Amino acid sequence: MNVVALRNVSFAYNGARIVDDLSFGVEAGAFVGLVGPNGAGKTTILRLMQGLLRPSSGNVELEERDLASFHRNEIALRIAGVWQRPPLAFGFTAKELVLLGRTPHLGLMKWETPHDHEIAEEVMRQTETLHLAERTAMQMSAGELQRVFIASALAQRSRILLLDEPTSFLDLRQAARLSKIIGDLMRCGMTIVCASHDLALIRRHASKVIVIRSGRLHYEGSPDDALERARLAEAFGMQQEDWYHEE
Amino acid sequence: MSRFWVSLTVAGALLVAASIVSLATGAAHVPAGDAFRALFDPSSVDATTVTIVRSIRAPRVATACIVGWALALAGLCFQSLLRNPLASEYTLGVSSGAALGAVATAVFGIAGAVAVPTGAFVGAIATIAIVLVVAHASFSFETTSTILAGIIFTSLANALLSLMLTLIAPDELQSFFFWFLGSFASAEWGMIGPVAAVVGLLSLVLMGHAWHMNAISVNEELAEQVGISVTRSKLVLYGVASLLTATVVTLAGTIGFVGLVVPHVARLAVGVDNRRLIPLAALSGAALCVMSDLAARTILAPNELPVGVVTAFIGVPVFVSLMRRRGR
Repeated sequence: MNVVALRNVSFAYNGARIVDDLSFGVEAGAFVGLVGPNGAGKTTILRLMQGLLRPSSGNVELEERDLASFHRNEIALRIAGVWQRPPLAFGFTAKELVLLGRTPHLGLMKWETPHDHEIAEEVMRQTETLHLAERTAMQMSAGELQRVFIASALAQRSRILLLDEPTSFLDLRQAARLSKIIGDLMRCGMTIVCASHDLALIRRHASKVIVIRSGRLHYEGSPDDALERARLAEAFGMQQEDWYHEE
Repeated sequence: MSRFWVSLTVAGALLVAASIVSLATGAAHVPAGDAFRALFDPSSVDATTVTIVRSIRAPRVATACIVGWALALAGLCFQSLLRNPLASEYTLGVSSGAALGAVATAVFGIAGAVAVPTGAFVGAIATIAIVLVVAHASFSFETTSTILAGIIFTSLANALLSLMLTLIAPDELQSFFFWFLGSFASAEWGMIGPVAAVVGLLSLVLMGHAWHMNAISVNEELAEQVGISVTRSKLVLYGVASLLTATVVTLAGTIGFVGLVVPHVARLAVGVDNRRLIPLAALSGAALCVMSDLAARTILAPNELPVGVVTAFIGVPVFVSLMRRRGR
C-alpha cells in the first residue's frame, strides 16, 4: 500500500513551474531517495508531501486519502520532517526545540508531561545531542543544530519521516550515526523519503530512487539502475568524464 | 526554587511595594500603614484619608497596573509573532493607530459608551493590517520591513492625530493631550472593572496560545509541521495583541516602551518559553507602570509629568542597547 502518493502534482510559484505533473508512490516501510540537481524541486516535493504547500493542480494522498482533508495535527501525528532552516530569532535551547516535536501529542493547553521529557531525552541520546540540551541555537554548530532538528523530528514519533539533505552539515561520524539511526527506524517499520546529494546514504538504504530534473520525473527505479553513472550524468547535465564520485 | 519562581516573586514584590508607596505618596502624605488600612479596614482611619486612598490613588494604581500588564503582554505577543525583539505595539504603530481611532470618534462626534473603545480597536486592527500588508504584500511577514513599516505608520498616525487636534476647540485641547503621552490621571473605578475583566480574559487566551507562540517564534514552517495551524494562531494572536493595545489606549492614551522593554528583560531572566514569559512579563509590566507613575507624580511635584515621558526615559537607553546588541 502507498502511504504517500503524488498524483499528477504540479506546483507553480510566481508563474514559474517548480513541480510539473509529477506522480509517484511511497510504500509503507520503504526508503525512497529523491535525487536531482540543485533547484530541481526536491525540497518543494517534500513540502508538498507534508502539506506545507498546496499543489497548483493534482493531489497528494496520505494513507489513500486526500492530504487536504487532514487537520494539521493529524498530519503531524503521521509525518515528521527535517528541513534546512533559516536562523532562529530567540534563544530557544536544544531541549526546548526537541520538545516542540512533541506538540501533536500534547493536550489542549500544550503542557508537556514527564513522558514527553523522557522521549525528548531518549531521542537526544540517540542523536548524541543530550549534552547540548541547555545550549541555544547561537551556541551550536550547524551540524549540532541539524542533529537537534533530527531529534525534534524523531520526538514526533510519526510513521513517515521526510529528510531534506539530512547529512549536509554532519561530519563523518555523525553521518554514519544518522545512517545507523535510519537503519534502526526502518527495522521498526518507518517510511522514509530522503532528498539528498549523499549518494552513499541513498545507496545504502533506498528501496527506490526517484531522479528529478526541472520538477519532472526523470527516472524511477532501483538504486542500482537510478544511480548508474550515465543516468546521473544525464540528469545532472554533466559529462561522464567530469565524474569524480566513487561508485 | 527555580529561576522562574524567584523572578515571579521579585516582580510581584516590586509591584506590591510600588503600589503601597504610590498609595502613600502625593500632595497629602499618608503613612503606608494608614494607606493599607484605608483599603482593607476603612473604619480605622479618618474619612479624608479613606477618600484620598480609595477614590483618588487606588484607582490610579489599579489603572497603572492593568496598563503595564496589558502593554507588556501585547509587546511580548508582537515580538513572538514577528520573531523580533524590537517589535512592540508602540514601534509597530498600533498604539498610535488606536489613539487615532479613539480621537476620531470624539472629533467626529460619534456618541455612545463603547464608541471610543470601538474606535481604538478598529484603529489598532486597521494599523496592524496596513503595516503587515505594506511590509510584505505577499503576507510572508518579513520582520525587518514590518518594523520599518510600523515606524513609518507611527509618523503618519501622529501627523493625523495632530491634524485632528487642530480641529478641536482650544479649551478642549488639554483633555486630548494625553492620547500622545499617556496618563493615569483620569482613572476611575467605573471604567477599571470592565477593562480589568477584558484584559484578564485576553491574558488567559494568550496563555492558552503560549506554546503556539513558542513554535511560531522558532520557525513558522516548523510550527506547521508539528501540527499548529499557523494562520489561525496568528490571526488570534494579532487580534489579542491589538485588543490589549486598544484597551490600554482607551484607558490611558499611548504609553511607549513598556511593551518593548519588559518582555526583553523578562527573557533575560527566564529564557524564551512564553509559558513562563507571559506571567512574568505581565507582573513586571504592571510593576514598571506603577513605578513610572509614582516617578511622574513625584519628580517635579507639585507638577506632574506625563507617564509616557518617564517610560521613554527608561525605555530609550534600553532600546539603544538592544539595537547595539543586534548590530554586533
